[in-house]
Amino acid sequence: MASKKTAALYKDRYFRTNQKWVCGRAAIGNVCPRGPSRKGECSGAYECAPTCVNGRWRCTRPTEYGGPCDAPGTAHAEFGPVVRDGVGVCARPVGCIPVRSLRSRRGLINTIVTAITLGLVLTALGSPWRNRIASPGALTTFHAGATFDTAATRTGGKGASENLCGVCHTATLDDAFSTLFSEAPTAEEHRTESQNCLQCHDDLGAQPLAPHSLDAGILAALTDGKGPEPSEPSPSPTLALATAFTIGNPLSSNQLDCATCHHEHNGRQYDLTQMDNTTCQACHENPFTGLESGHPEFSSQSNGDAYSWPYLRRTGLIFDHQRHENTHFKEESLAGFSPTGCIDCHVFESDNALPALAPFEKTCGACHLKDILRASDDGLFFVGYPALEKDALEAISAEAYPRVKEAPLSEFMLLLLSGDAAYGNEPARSAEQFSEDLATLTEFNRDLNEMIYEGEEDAALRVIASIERLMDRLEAGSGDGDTAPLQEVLESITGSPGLEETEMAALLGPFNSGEKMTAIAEDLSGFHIVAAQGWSASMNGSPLSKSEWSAAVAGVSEFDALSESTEAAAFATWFQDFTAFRPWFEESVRIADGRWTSKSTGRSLRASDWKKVAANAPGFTALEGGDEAAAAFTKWFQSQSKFKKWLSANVTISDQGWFAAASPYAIRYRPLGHADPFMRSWLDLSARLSGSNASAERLFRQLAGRAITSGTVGSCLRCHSVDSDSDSGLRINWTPRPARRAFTQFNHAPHQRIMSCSECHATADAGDKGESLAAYLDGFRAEIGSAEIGVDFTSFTSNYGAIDKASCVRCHTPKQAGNRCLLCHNYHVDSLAAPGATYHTTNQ
Amino acid sequence: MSALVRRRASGLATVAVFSGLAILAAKGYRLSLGNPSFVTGWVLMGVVLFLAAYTVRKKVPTLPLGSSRLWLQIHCYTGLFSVVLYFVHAGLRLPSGLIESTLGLLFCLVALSGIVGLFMTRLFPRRLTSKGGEVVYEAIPEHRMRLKQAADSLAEESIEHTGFTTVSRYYEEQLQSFFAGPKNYVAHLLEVAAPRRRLLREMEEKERYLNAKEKEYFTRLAEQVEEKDRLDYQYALQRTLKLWLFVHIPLTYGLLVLAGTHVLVVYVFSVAA
Repeated sequence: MASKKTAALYKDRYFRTNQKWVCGRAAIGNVCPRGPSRKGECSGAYECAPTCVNGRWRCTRPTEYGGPCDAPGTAHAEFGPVVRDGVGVCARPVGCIPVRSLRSRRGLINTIVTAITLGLVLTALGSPWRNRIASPGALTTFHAGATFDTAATRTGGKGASENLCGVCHTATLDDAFSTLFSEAPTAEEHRTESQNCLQCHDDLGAQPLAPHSLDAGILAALTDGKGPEPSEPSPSPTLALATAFTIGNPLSSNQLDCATCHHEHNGRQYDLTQMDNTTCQACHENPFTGLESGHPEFSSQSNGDAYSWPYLRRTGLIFDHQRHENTHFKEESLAGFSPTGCIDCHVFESDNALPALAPFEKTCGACHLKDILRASDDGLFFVGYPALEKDALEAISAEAYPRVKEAPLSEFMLLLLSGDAAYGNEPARSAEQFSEDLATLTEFNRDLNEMIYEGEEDAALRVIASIERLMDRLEAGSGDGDTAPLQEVLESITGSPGLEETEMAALLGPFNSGEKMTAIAEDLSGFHIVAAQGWSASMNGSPLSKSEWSAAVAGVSEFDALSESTEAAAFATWFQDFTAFRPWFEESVRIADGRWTSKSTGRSLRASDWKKVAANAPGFTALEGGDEAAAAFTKWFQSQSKFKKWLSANVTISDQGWFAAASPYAIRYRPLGHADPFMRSWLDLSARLSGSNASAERLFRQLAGRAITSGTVGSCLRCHSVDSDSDSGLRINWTPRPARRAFTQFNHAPHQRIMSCSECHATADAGDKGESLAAYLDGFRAEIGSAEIGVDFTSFTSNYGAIDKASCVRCHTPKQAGNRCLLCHNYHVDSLAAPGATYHTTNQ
Repeated sequence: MSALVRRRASGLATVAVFSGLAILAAKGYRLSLGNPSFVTGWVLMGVVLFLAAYTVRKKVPTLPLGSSRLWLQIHCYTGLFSVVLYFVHAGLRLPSGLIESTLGLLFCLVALSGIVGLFMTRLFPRRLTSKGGEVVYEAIPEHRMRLKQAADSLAEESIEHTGFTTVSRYYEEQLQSFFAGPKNYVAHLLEVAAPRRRLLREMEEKERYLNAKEKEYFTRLAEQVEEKDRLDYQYALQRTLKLWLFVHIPLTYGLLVLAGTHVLVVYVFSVAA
């Protein structure tokens, strides 16, 4: 076979495949046996180098290249070397342009591809868009766009639009080399990018990077011994795998970077919160495979702790569903008000996990609003002078104390006095002195008169002095831009700046303006109590007496000189007699809102008008043409501005009468409806301070006094429960659900659409829970049968039966409604773990 | 079970074991809140560098680093393992960043060309041997030229010995271009013999119009055609065996450059993380 011959022919040939250059005629099958040089130059100008044999030049072309061209009998026998200058030369010149070998061409392509790739990379990384080019993928919609950019910049993010990567990353390509070759970051610096996240996500509690955002000690306390034994003898292989790889578990440092669970750069719609069920259990001691298999029962009786899920704590509102449903709503008189079903009161909204409660006016208010609006309520004595009897004043030689008819010292006043740093005679022990006197006041039921009569004059005097300091402060008001006096007092009690602006405004009411108490009282006195938003001023504190008027007149220097003049005696006597002067003045002048008007014309009283009015005063004509003193007095009396200024400084004139200008005003408050901001803020404040301030505790007891069966006081806490809070005293639950459960969540809306409420919230069997039905209200009392407020939120017996796991497992399987851990459980719990939040843990 | 089958089975089993371990380790690492990307990334980078080192090994055959055959075996199985490792590292999803997308595309092209090359290097030599007539690739053009010269000579001789130009004209019109260069490249790769059969059938059909002498030359020309077809077969398969490296190796260099860039970017953005 020819092919075999060919194979044999070329098997020993060397084709220079490993060399860079090969003969340019290789492609046409006429390769030169010499081959090109290393530099790719043709070195084979002829097919052979003839040799001289016996005087004849013979062709030496190798056999594999066709053999000698002058061999006899061959097709080319006529050829052969030619002789030039006596030397045989090949007659077949074979010059070529050498070409690269395949290997060399491949090497060249390798170099070109590498160079192009490197060039493109360097160009890209050197361009202004290098950070975008280097981005491993699109950010989620939450972290992309102008809103995030703006927010990140506002909260101190490193970069803005021109360096978006720097918003989250501490290092970018802009400082690539300095970053790469800088010192290794410390453990603290490793947290930096997570801290960038927390610039915006600042609602994750005090330890946002700790497991479950909880302090390790708290987490340990919550989990220690609480969990049941694992119900499965052996976890799944995946679970075993997760627990086996502790090498990658960052829990060892008790700090988890945000990126541990939240993986960005995975596209616009990527779910940053997705978490594999197994991953959750990588840290958990007793792992299990799912809700239906291994998950602990919701309610349990292990380790001495009984859980009756989800009723682990008291409700925010004290509402006995059983009693209302079975008794009140069946009354004929309430036929038009009684709800027909759960959804009449509970409103289910898709975006709210918990059902909202319909407004008070549409639910409880139908029957209970009248409790708040009782007309017999006189309101609360907020600030003012407490009443002191004449005998008591004389006993302590305090005749200057205003004679008022107000009730005994109010609890509000007592709390305000507790902030008096100058209380008592010894500044160093003012707080201690106040506590002692408070005990005395308590003993005498806040009645200063009794204290004086019973020999506690010193204590009474200290209290009175403190009251006068407070009232003087309120009367002085604040200058422009200064803090309102009452705000200063509150801040000294709560610790500045312990209160929010809105809370402070609600606490201060009209005193928030910083106006003088006199002005506030005058303003309030001009309005009906509804128009004044529940505020009123008592103006009957100190009507102007004759002696006070005489003393005020005697204080006029011009009058002092006049009194020596015999001609002016009649006028002086008239002017000093309040009962004579007042009718004359009121006959001529009317004062309204600080403006003087003429009674005859009804127009504003000008200086010239007053001059005429003054000239008509009884006995005034005797002064005309008198001595120098008479002239001076005449000038003063006829000057409207001077007279008006003196009168305003000494007398307060209103529709209710003439009062000494320095006389006290009692400011009262009366709630006009549900959710009253003043009552709510003072209840909150006094509850919060009740653990540290005895006066606050007294005020809270007064405002929360359920024993009071009439009036507004105490009405709030007939329905709103109170929790004890180790961090901040007591806390009033103004919302139906005081705090979300920390570790669990549940969205009622989708469930409510497909099933009835009673499928889960079944009334407790009266036969089994008869005692608990009766004990529902007792859970909100300090002890059974008492009216004292119970503050232990764990002391609770629901009149609904517990929900068991089986009711959820019916639908929540992997193939049906899903059973991911995060479907029901929260990870970041600290932000939700407000005081009173329920921690219901399994064994983790 | 032959030694070859045993060897391949053990090689594939080793790849499967390592792949399984890598998948389990990465999954376990991730489930335990660790980030396996750094570890798997560096392992993948090391594996790719090792695979690329095969080229270096071939360029320096004198180094005592084991036989090239052994290297090729390891190269193939490691390459297979690298594919698994890539998906462990990047996940079963399309990368979305520009660098990562390009890197992923390059890796897939390199891996795909490697797999295609692996199959060709295992399949083509067997086909070449079974066909017979193996010729050194570099000698094919020369042999082709000699075949053409022989065919030319036959055509010339036929005029002289038969006295007619029928054979030579047919050769000039129908066969000269066939002998001029490589033909039916794709058909040979795909093991399709139809073009050769068609040509021979045409010649067979023409024979009825020839006299005895002409038929003799026609038969000898047909033999040359078959010889040329075998040579083209050799050429097509051997050339493909050489050209696939023009895809596999240059893309590998591009892959290495982009992989280095990827490492740089990842470390810049994570050094203070």
